[in-house]
Amino acid sequence: MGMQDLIEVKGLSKKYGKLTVLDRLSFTIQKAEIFGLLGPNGAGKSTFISILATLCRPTDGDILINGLSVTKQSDKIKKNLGFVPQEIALYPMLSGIDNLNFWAGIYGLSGGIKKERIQQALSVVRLEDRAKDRVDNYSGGMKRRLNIAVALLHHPDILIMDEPTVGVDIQSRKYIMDAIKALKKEGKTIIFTSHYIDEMENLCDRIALIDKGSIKSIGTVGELQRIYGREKIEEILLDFLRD
Amino acid sequence: MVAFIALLKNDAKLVLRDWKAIVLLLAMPFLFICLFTYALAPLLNKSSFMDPFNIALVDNEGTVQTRMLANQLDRLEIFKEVMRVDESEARQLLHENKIAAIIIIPAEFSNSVYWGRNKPVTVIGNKSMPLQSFVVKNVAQSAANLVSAGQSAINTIYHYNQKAGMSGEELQKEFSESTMKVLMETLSRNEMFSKVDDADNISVTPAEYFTASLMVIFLMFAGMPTMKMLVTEKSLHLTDRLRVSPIAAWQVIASKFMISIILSVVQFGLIIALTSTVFKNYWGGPVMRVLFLLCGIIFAVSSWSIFVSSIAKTSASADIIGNLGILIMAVVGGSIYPLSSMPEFVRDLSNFTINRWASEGFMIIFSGNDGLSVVNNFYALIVIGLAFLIISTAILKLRRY
Ligand SMILES: Nc1ncnc2c1ncn2[C@@H]1O[C@H](COP(=O)(O)OP(=O)(O)OP(=O)(O)O)[C@@H](O)[C@H]1O
Ligand SMILES: [Mg+2]
Repeated sequence: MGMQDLIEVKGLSKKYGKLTVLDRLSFTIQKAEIFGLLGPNGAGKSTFISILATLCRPTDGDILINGLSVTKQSDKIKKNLGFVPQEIALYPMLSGIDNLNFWAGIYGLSGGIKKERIQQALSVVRLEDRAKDRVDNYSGGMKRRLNIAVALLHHPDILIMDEPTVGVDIQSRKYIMDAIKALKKEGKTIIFTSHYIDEMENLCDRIALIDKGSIKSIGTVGELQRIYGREKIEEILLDFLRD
Repeated sequence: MVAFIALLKNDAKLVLRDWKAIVLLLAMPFLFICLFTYALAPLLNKSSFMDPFNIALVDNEGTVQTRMLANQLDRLEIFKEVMRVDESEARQLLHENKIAAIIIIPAEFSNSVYWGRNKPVTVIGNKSMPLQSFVVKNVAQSAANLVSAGQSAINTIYHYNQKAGMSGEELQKEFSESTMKVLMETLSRNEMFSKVDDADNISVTPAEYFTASLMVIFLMFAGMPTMKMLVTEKSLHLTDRLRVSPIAAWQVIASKFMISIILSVVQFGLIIALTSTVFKNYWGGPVMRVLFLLCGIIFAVSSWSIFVSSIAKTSASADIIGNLGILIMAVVGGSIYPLSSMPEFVRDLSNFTINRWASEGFMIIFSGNDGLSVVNNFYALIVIGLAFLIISTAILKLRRY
C-alpha cells in the first residue's frame, strides 16, 4: 500500500438475506485518482457506491477514508464527500439556482461564498443560461448536469458518482467529462461507475472490473489490455460475460 | 445552524408554493363547522351534547327521605343508571371506569338537615371523566343549596316564632312541622333536580360541540402537507442526498415538525377567531389551558404525520394511509358518532386515538368551567404522540439498511 492511499476497502461484503451482492472486496484508491467501476447490471456497483457514501451499511468489512471508517465515523467523513446518485435527486418544482441554493445552505455555505460557489458549479456543468428555469423544464442531460453540480458546491475532496452520464447526449457527456477532468486537476479524487466503456478508457486512471459482487481485475487501461491480451476493455468485459 | 435554517426556509417555501392547498386547508374546517352546525344541530337535542352515564349512590342513611332523594336522581336523564351500592363496591366501579362519580349520603343526613347541622353529601368524581363528574358535582351542589336554603328558612321561622313570643312547646311543635314540611317539599319536588339539570348542564352549544369534534380532524389534516413532503423527498431520492450531507436525520424531521406546528397554530387561531365571532364559541377559559391542550394536540398530530410518512413509500400511498387513518381515528375517537353509543370495545379503543382526548379537552374549555383541567388530556396526547414517534423511528431505522 502506497503513501497516497486515500480510500482503503477492507474485506467488504454486503448481503441481502441470502443474496451476496458484494463478496469480500479489498482494494485501495489513491488520492487525485479517477477510479472507474465497470460491470454489468446488478454487478454491485451502486451497492459499493452507497456504502462508500455512508448511505448503506456493509454486512462485513469496512472502508477507511483517510483512516476514518465509513461505518463508525461517517459524521467526520460526510463534509468531505460529494455524492451524485444514480437517480436524479433534485426538486423538480424549483429552479436550478434554487436547488443549488438549498444544497449550498445544507452544507453550511452562506453569503458571498455561497453565491460564488453556485456560479462556479453552474459554469462547470455549463448551465449558466438555464439556471433560473424550473428543473422539470430541463432536458434529461441538463438534469444530469445539475445533479452533478449539486455535489460540487462544498468543494469536497472526494467525488462519488453513480453513472453520471447515463442517458445523456454527446454534448452533455462531453461537458460532464470535461468537468471530471477539471476536478482531477484540482486534486479531487473521483470514483464513478459507467456503462460507457470509451468514457472509462478516456477518463480513468484505473478501472475495477466487477461482476457478481467480486472484483475480477483492477488496473490501468494498459495493464488490463496486457493481462487479458485484448485491445479494448469492451472485449475483456464481453469475455467475462461469456463465462 | 446555517444548514438547519436553509432546510427550514426551503420546507416553508415548498409548502407555500402550494398556496391553494393551504388556503383550502385553512378554510375547510370553518366551512365544515358551519355546515354541521346549521344542518345537523336542529336534529340534535341538548342532551346529545353530554351522553348519559352511570353513577353510584351510597346511601348510608337508608330512610324514606334519602330514598326519595335517590328517586329524584333516577329521574334525571343525564344519568343512565344510578347504582345503589355500598361504598367499597362504588369505589371498585369507579376504579373500573364504569361510573363517572359516587354520591355518598352520610348517615343521619336528614336528621342533620332537621337540626340545621352540616352533614354534607360527598361526591367523588372519576378523574378520567372530568366533564361527567363535574355535572354530578353540580347536581349535588345545587341540591345542597336548595336544602340549605330550606334550612335557613327553618331557622328564620324558628327565630321569628321565638321573637313573636311563642312558648316552648308550641315553638318546638311549630318548628318540627315546618322543618318536615320544608324537607319533604324540597325532596319531593320533581323539579329540584330537573331544574339543576337544565341550569347547570355543561353549557356547550351545537357550534361548540362540532368545533370540538371537527377541529381535531382538521388539525390532523394540517399535518398532511409536511408529511407528504417527507414522502416526496424520499421518492425523489432527495433523502439519500440529505443522508450523505452533514445534516442529521432528526433535523430534517424537526424542520417539517416546525412547519406543521406553524400551520396548526395558524389554523387554530383562525378557528378561534371565526367561531368566537360567528358562533360566540366560548374561548374565554384560562389561556394556559387552551395552550396546554393545543401543545398536546399539535405534538400528537405532528407525530402522527411523521408516522404516516415513515410507512408510506409514495406520495399517493401517503395520501391513502393518511386519510384512512384520520377517518378511522375520527370514527373510533368519537368525532363522528358519540362514543357512548358505541360498543364497549370501541370505547376502550378510543383511548388510543388523538380525537377522543382532544375533543374532550375542547369540550372542557367550552364548558367555561375553570375548575376543570385538561392535564389528563394533555398527558394522554403526549403519550400517543411519543408512541407514534418511537414506532416511526424504529421503522426508519429498519428501512435504512
Ligand atoms: N435493497 C435491496 N434489497 C435486496 N437486493 C438488493 C437491494 N439493493 C440492491 N439489491 C441487489 O443487489 C444487486 C446489485 O445491485 P446494484 O444496484 O448494486 O447493481 P449495479 O451494479 O449498480 O447495477 P446497475 O448497472 O443496473 O446500476 C442486484 O442483484 C440487486 O437486485
Ligand atoms: Mg447501479
